Amino acid sequence: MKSVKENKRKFTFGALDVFLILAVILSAAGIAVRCVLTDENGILAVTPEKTSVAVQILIEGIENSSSDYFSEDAVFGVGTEGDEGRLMSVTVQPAEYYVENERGELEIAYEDAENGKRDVRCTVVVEGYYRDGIFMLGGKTPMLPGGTVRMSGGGISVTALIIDTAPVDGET
Amino acid sequence: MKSEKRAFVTAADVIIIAALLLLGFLAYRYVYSGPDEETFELDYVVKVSSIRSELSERIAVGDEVYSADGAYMGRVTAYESRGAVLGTTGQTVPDRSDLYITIEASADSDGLVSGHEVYVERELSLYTTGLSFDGICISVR
Repeated sequence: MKSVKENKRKFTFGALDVFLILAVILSAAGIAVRCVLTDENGILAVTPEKTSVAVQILIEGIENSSSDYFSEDAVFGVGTEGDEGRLMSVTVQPAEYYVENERGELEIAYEDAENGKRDVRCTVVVEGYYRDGIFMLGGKTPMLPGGTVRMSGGGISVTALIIDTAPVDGET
Repeated sequence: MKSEKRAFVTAADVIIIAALLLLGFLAYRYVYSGPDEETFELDYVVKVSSIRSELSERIAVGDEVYSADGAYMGRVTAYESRGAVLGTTGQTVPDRSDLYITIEASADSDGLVSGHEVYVERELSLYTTGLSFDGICISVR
């Protein structure tokens, strides 16, 4: 009959155990990097510094009375992800349109100064991040000249054409 | 008397060997799969109609072009800005331009650029670091 001592298996720490432990650690690290530290494209995400950017926008052909909503320091919702921006340097002008002159050419004309529609040019200061040289509003929505962005607040919502973007002085 | 040590294969050994084989296969795919794919150069022209003139200056030769979903769509090799013309009457539209952008891209054996079909009359939403634009492909070579 074997004694209890004899039946007890000896624990030996072999190369296989080291390999298994390393494999488990590396797998866990890989999963952590893939799931936690990378963005939706699988690229290692480094949290960039938040930047304030002045976005020059043009809102075309809105009603005369609607232009009153756009004044300096007014705060608007920008885009559809809950970001906000503050208006600066607002310029309201009679809206442009095209007319045919007596030579049959198109030329720019302007709506009536008192009652006609309005074009609003202004700058909205928003926060976000630069990714690959492109300013991303709130880190998600690209803000590029030629693109459009929704501006909402105080009971009005309009689509604005982005004309230019530039970092606010002192920021990159 | 010492008993002779018997070599036997356990389930753990099988799992480890399978994992090693899988790792080796993945490493091989990672190292060798990319360059073997056949690709060819493609030049296509996108017409952006009636863009505001102040925006048409924001494109430049060498700009990298991406689709709205972020896929790489090539590099600008040439562009031309012409006065926008109304299709119905032939009248020139003041302060508006038609922009013709030539883009060089690498297409796979199915003719796809980063998984996107590029063909004449295809509407494309593209952007560079300086301009976002919607246009129609008018030429593919």
